[in-house]
Amino acid sequence: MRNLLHLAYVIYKGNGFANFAGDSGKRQKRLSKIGSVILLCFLVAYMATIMSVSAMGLFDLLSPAGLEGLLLGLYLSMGVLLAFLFGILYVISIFYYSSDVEKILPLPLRADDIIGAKLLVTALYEYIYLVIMLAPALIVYGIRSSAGMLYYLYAVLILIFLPLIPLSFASVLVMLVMRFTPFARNKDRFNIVSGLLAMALALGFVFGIQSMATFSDQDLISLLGSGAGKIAGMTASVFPGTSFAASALAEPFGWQAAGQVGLVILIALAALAVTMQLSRLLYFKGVIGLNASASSRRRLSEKEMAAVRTGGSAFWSYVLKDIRILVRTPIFFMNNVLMNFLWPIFILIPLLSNEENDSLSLAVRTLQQTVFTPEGSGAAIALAIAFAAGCFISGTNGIAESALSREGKLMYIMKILPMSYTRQIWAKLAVGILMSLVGTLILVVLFMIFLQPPFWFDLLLLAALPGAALLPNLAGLIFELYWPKLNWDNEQKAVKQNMNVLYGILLSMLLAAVVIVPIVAWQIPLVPAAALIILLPLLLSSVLIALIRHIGPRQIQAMDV
Amino acid sequence: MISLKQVSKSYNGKVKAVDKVDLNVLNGEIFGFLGPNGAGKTTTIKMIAGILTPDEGEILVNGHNIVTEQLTAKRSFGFVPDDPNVFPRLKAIEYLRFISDIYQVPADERTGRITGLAERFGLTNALADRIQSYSHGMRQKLMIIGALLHNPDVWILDEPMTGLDPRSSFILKEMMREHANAGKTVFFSTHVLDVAERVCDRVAIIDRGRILYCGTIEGMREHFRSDSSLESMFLELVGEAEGEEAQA
Repeated sequence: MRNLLHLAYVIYKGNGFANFAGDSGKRQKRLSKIGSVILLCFLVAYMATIMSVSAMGLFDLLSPAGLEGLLLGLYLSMGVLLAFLFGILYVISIFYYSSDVEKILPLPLRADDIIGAKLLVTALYEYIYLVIMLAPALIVYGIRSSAGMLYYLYAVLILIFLPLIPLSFASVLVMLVMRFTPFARNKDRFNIVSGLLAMALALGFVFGIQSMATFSDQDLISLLGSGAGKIAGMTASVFPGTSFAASALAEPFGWQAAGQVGLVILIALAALAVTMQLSRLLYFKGVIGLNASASSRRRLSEKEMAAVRTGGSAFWSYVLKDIRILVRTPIFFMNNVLMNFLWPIFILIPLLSNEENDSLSLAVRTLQQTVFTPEGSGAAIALAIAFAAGCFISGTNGIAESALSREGKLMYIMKILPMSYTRQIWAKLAVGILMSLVGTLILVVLFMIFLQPPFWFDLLLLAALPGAALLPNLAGLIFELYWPKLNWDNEQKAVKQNMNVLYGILLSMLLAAVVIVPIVAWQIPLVPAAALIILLPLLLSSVLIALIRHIGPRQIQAMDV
Repeated sequence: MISLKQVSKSYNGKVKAVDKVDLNVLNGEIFGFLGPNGAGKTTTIKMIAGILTPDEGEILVNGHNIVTEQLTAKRSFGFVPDDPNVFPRLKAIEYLRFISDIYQVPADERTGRITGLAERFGLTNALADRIQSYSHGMRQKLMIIGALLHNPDVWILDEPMTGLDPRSSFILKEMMREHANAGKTVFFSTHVLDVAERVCDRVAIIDRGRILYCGTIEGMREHFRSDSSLESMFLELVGEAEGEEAQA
């Protein structure tokens, strides 16, 4: 047991949850830690508010019909479903693709200790977000239904034991896939495919929430009775225990409720025992021999040799090298590249999901009559909002904000290449700007298709693009030059646990606000506003370019790697 | 040629990794850089390659100051790092093309050099694969090919034999000798004293950031007045230094 707990601690630390600190001095590390705590608090508060408000709305909607018990079934089913889906991703990464696997396997540890420790860490990750997702709804239900202490005691027990059931299902499913599917044994390919699937699920989830928001009360009640109710029913039948948990919480009195909670605990323990037993048979055979890339071991084709013969510019070769690494590294692809293309869709989801009814054409007509006119300040504000959205996409892709961090310990290569640091910085910046331009261009094209602004407005949007792509990338790069996170052992830490990405987003938002606030506050007319939106970012960008030119080479030279 | 004059480097202003080192590596020689773990070898090599900036002193590579004439100096050497895990997600051929573009290897010479070196190191059938799929030794060979692709005058190799199979190790030693015989410079660090004894024209032994000996192996034998192997002289030298430090 001691071994198991020690190992779980090591695995947990190795995964570096919430470790956002850069490599620089103690003070910077402390600041980064404070920053990461603030960020986490913000995210937790944000999610908890959303879940509480939605639970309150649903409770008020269902209670007049005496159906408030449905809320518990719905939320618990949703939690179990999420625990299962996230469980799959966590088990893949913690059991199979974590960098600790190769170090732990040769140690003289019992199989049970390794598997138990990994299950414990996976469960811990699951608890963290399940508590954030479910606890607010359960508390809302408890308060609104004036539940007693027994309800809260059962809720805590259910929160502890219920997620273990879907987690066990996810573990067994993944272990079976990894044991018997050759495709899954290519780490990079599997990571990208499973990441894309997760994104598709998230996108489906957002679309679903969006379309539920447009339902009337009656629609929602009938949906709960049919669609969502069916999903909840299905979830309850696939993952036994969910319906017992919901019933016990709906009427937490007497022996029946106690028996139901006891059954949930019993099922969870049984599921864990079966998982442990199966993992002895499946885990080691599945984890040994995983590889990150397949090899063909073939001679280069004539075409490939011809490509080598064509000499290219050093600058574009550098850019191409960075793009290749960005696209081929699963973590970078999911966080930096894919998000760049998904944000425009997320931003325009309200328009896309309302397409079926007449509200879109009504909105387009209203916009064309009131906003897209050269008179008044409506067009200026619309342009300013589009610019801010562009800045947001450029800032959140985190490419410039992790330009040096992504190099990690290989950053020393920047220092041996016969290419000036300034040119290397511009090459890295070019990657961020190119990606941002593509992301913002998608947004503009979607904007043009769905809102059908007049041609002159299209031209203004296109003219605002360069500033929206340049400014956030330049701002983000400055943080990288001062606090790159180079000392990492898995790529996740370079982009997902890097405070520079957050700082970059905040600074680019601030800079976007500098442009937008005067336009909205003083209702600046279109022509001067357009000039401000197009030219001010370029002016600010040229200041940042001069700054980077000045500090960039000096900072890189000073980095001891 | 490589020249270090009174070069020092400390980390965090406390630990002096390299202390007032003077070295002259001449054209036409293979120079071995030896020392125990943590002696300051890699720090010195990183300073020569421009990865670290010296706190004091001056480093010239092929007559160019690595701090003030960075680009010219960097063009004149090829560097093999001690860790060959570079750009794992690039294909080997993409890596070599990148290096060719950065070092501006003439278009008409690229194919010949790449195929020639790949043939020599037995990587011809693996150039289309991602570096990720390579073994440690194969990665090491690729690093060597990449370092030699622009035909540099000065070779700086940090533990180049690590992970190489005997055939590739032999080929590399042969190439080092050819390069030195052509009047150019090879500077390499190694832990394998047998290799140093057989290959090097001169060696330097560094310990705790200081050069304990610099010269030919014959000269070292005269210094110790013995017929001992380089290994026993090395151990004696490093042991003496440790003893002196303990007394002080």
